Amino acid sequence: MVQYTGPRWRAVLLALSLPITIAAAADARAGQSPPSDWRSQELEQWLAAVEGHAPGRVDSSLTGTASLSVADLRKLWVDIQALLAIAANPRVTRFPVRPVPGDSWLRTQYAREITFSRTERAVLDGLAARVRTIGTDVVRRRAAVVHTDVLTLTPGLGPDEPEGAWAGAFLRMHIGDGTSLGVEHGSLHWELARMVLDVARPNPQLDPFMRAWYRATIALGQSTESFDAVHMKRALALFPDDADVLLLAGCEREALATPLFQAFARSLRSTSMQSDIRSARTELGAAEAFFRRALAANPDLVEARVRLGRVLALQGRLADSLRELNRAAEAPIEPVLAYYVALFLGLAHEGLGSPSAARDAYRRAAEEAPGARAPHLALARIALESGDRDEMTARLSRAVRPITAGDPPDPWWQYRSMQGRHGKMWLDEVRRAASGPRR
Amino acid sequence: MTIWRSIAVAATLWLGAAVGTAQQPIFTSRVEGVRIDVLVTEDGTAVTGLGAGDFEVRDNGVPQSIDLVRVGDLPVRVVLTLDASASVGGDRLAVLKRAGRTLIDALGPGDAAALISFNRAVVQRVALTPHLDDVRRALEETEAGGETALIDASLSALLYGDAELDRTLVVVFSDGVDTASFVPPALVLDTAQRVNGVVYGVSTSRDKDPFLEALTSITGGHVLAIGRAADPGPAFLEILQEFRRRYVITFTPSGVDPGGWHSLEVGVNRPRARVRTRRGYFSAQQ
Repeated sequence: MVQYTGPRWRAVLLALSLPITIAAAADARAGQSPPSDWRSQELEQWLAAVEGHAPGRVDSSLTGTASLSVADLRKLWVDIQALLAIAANPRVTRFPVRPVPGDSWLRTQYAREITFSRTERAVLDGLAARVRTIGTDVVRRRAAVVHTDVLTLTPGLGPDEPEGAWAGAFLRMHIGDGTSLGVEHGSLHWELARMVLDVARPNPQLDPFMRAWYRATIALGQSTESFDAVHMKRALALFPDDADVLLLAGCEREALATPLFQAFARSLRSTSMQSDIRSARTELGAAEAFFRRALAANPDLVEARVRLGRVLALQGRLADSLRELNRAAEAPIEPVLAYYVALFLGLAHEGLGSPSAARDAYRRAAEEAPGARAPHLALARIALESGDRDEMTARLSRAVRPITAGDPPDPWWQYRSMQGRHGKMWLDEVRRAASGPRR
Repeated sequence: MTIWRSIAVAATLWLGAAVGTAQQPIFTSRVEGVRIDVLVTEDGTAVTGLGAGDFEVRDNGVPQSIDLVRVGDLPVRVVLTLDASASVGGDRLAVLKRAGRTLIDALGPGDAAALISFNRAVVQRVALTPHLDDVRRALEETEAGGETALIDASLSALLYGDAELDRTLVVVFSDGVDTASFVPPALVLDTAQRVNGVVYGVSTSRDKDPFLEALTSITGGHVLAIGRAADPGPAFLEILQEFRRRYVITFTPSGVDPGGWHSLEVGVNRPRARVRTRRGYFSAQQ
């Protein structure tokens, strides 16, 4: 897997094929017990953190969890599943092991199921009783928030890992300006959060918390241009008809169609790595399909219509684009979306040979966003064609003006991340939901 | 390329040799003229000393009478358009600054330069000026970071050069990967057919960038590909020297319908010569 992240760095977690996964050398040991150094203290520490962590705060429960090593987290991956299985059914004796998506280590250390010694089982039974006392559902939610808070509030707090500790782990790739800026190992905390939410919930669609968590975490990631394809794939599998998830899925594919990501995908061709970034045409088609599904689920989701209008224009379907953008313009709309609508309407009108309508649209865009440059550049171009040199010069001077302190950014520059603007608010809602009564 | 609406504009164009020098238009009759920059080479070397009688110009296939040919002694207006995105950061930016200084140092009295830098934002750092130290200073202050709005920057430079109503050389330096522009490339290429500037590209990318190749071709320039480790200073100088050796040919279209796209063919009576110029021009409907 590859991920690209950071406020300046764009991030995407992509399912990469094996060349980027470093396989561990150990053989699978079907049906065997956990490794001989298995101890209960990490699991006890984890459960204590789940009970004690104040969502949204950096407390000792959180820093303790954040300092767990990758080896600890891998053990937890197995043990938490067993713990929740016993909490659900105290008589269970068989413990199937779900693989960690993208992490080949587990496949080489464990096979399909594991067993525990009497001593280990006794410890697990005691912890499972605590889980039942707290409430399995409460544990799931609070655990998901603990791991989310580790990722969002204490990034980089993990311990120094010994050489080889990451063998088999998936990788994140940071990219900037169309090229790779480096690779780092992905965090198992996302996997743990997804797993605890999934493992004890036979019908996730009936769990509004789970839906809210996926929506918030995807949006928060996209707000920093961190596109996690694995996370998105899981969310789509769980909530295939959720308008917000579908919108975010469309935004991801739309972003991957941009020159930034396409240039990166091309740069991978000379390496042994692969990504699941497809051609711009294919990505735009996928984005269009997701936006249409989002609108089918919620016809009032204006942002999906704005973006649908844009991807249609990029596919050369200008009349269709114009129709969608005009519909979006008629709806109650946030100022930033109104800016995008006007900007894209301008492009569509230009493409259809209507400079006068394009001029009007660009002028509206310029009024919507005082910091914008893009509409002024477009207006300068139109002025040139109409022979109005004074207008061309005036618009051009605004388009290329120096950047000064306090000069608001052009919202166009944030188009790839704007869909995530509610992520923090949504995550705070998730945290509040997890802060409720313990039982 | 520009269709002159009035020869008064042309007079300013031709006689305003020094920036800031007030020149009175000497003709007042309305004449529609077309101006084209032409580079003639033989075995890769620019050919000089040609006169109007050595050229043949066809507008939409119709031979035209050439009014004027000038070369060499015209002032040069350079719009230096520098990529200041993250991908040219570090040593690349240092090389780029050095190259920019090399080009500015080669400008002479009467010449002028402007500096536009771009990452995701396109910024006019220095307006067209004969005070070249201002440009040198701004070059030194340039810092790299962010994405690459190559297409938006190219459009800005074209428009800026055209606003100066003078013979403009636009030099676009980039690693050739646009990641942030708003304007579609097709619209910029369309604009390139309507303006005066000649665009040269200096690319550090191993891959040819279709946009930059098309833009330079339309305007009669070309792309100089340099390696990432190379000093592009000589490439900049080559561009400037080549630009100075270009002929400026003017003619008044006759026998062709006004309006729309006019394809141009420029020939020269030297069998081994290669002619490089724009492929045509747009004329507004009268």
